[in-house]
Amino acid sequence: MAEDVLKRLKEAIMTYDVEGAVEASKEVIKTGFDPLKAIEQGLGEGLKVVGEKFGAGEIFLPMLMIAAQAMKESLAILEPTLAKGTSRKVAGKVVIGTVEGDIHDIGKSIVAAMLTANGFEVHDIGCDAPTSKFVEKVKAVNPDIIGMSALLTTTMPKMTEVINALKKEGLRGKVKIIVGGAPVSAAWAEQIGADSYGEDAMAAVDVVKKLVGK
Amino acid sequence: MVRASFNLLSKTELDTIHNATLEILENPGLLVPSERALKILDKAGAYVDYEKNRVTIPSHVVEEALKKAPKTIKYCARNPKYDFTLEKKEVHFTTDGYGVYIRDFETGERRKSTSADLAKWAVLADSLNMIHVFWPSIAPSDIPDAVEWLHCLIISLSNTEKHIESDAYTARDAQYLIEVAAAVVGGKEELKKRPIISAVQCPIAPLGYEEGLIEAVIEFAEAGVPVVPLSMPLAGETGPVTLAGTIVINNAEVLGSLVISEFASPGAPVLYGGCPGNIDFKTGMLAESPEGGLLNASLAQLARYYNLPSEVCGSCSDSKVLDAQAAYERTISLLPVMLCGPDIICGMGGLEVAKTMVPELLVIDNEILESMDRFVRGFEINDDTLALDVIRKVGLGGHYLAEKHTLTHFLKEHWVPKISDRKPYDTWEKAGSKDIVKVAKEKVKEILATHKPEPMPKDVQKEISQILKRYEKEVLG
Repeated sequence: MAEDVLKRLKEAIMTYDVEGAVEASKEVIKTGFDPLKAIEQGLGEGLKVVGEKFGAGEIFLPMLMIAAQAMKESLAILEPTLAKGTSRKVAGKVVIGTVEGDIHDIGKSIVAAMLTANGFEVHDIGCDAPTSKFVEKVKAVNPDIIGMSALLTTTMPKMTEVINALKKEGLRGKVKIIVGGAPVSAAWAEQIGADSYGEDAMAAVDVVKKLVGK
Repeated sequence: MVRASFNLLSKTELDTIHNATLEILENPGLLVPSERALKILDKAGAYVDYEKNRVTIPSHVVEEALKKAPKTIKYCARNPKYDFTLEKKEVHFTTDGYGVYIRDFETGERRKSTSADLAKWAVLADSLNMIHVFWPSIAPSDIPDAVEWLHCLIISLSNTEKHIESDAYTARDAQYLIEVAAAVVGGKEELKKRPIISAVQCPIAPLGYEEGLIEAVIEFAEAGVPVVPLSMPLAGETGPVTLAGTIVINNAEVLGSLVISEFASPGAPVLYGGCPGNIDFKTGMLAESPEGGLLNASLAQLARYYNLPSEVCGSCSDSKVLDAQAAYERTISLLPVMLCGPDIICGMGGLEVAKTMVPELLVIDNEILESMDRFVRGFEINDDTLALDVIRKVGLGGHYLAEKHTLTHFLKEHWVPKISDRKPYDTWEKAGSKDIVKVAKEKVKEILATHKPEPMPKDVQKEISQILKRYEKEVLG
């Protein structure tokens, strides 16, 4: 029975079945099954497979996005029930957002999904995110990585603004910063003092893994 | 269903071409240098001059032949999973015919092609999803011309499980081709039910036939093997310089061939064929052109006008190498023809207007065909595809990537390229900065190393090789 629910969680993620994942998560709570085990060995294992397949070009973006959505909705059910002081094992924590003045949400969301699939705890602060929101979130969750996205040449300078604000708060040394988006380049990352740059979602995952030393 | 299509010619214009063609069939008529064919035409009600090998065909004979002709034709294959029916719904594609050179994909050298090249060409075509018919496009220079067709058929049968479009120079060629095909399907009656071969038999423009070729047409008609009378008038050379006049020539030759088939064997499967073109007026050489697109598109429409299945030409190029010219010429000669909806388009894999076959081009053509096939299929409009529920769910802003509606539909609605590069620049550079020709060459190498068409049963192979021996002895002595 117990192993059965793990299998159901994993398979729901691997078959891009949001309702199935949510239902299985509710059953975890109902039956008193260990929620940490459900997250790590059920949902997490499934999403890992999805991420690997996506990275290998075997499956398509909607599949990755829906699997990540299923994970997100299941975590919302299971995480609040974790015993105090315990938390799921993650590859690292990431705060990610699109900078102020820029409403381009999707590229950043794809990177967030791919990072989630690779075992990172991702805090997505959305698009058109003011510099202060980045700073507040960093203070609140103490991430390893900050990811900033911009799709407009006119909003790219906001990345510099965020970096300067972090320096001012004495937080710059505690986090690594990656940047991305169509007009953004490795040269730009270097110019503004970011740590790295990812050309697409797969590259972003490689870069983040390298930065957290995995 | 919104389907991408267009009508180049109006009903009135088609009527005009048809009536003009009937006038030509009455005067000057056609040159038919075969007593056997002349007798069939005589019996059909045509006026035959046996001395001059000339025939004039009154319109009622043409109408009668059109009535006898089947409206749909089955193209079966050695492996039934590749069977399909020509019913004016889907466009299918064949390899180009009939190149005398091959560009060796390993050395890049343009050299005379051999039977080993033909075998590899067949394996390649067997593996490519958009190639539905295999025309043995490669002339094997290591085989005597007089016996090449039977060799070509046997090499093809041994290396692809798809339908084979063959050719025959003589009635005897045709008889042997039929015998081999019958051996594969289990007899001549079975072959009538499951024609795994068809035959491209070209008239000789303007307005005539060759003795052996037209007698082969009669053999095929009697055996129930589909025939494609592939007329090839060249505007300004073997047809009038004007496109309308060249269409009339093509039409007269096809209808003449149809009359012979239908009166030789009523209900004989005959496709409306054509591969008209034009010349380069500086050299007199056959040339790829936008006019070729207009000509072949018109013929596809004429075939529909007559309610006959059809095969016309597309995807041609004069280019000597795989360059931008090769790509744009193929596109302009293919898409308009596809939009007029023939059953089959030939021309895949060839450069220099079919003189040189290029393996990596066949792989690239497969990609072009997939994308154009997607274009032609259009899209559906209904409650599900209008997606009002999903539009309301996502609301203002946001995205549709994580919607179930997206997951359900994206692969049906959107084409996924097989070899075209869509990677971002840096990723492409890291992967070796490969252009499409390089990618296609690698694909050819991979296919030839891994794709293994099912061989024919041992006893069939044995029977076929005995037939071949008998044929060679008969022809070569």
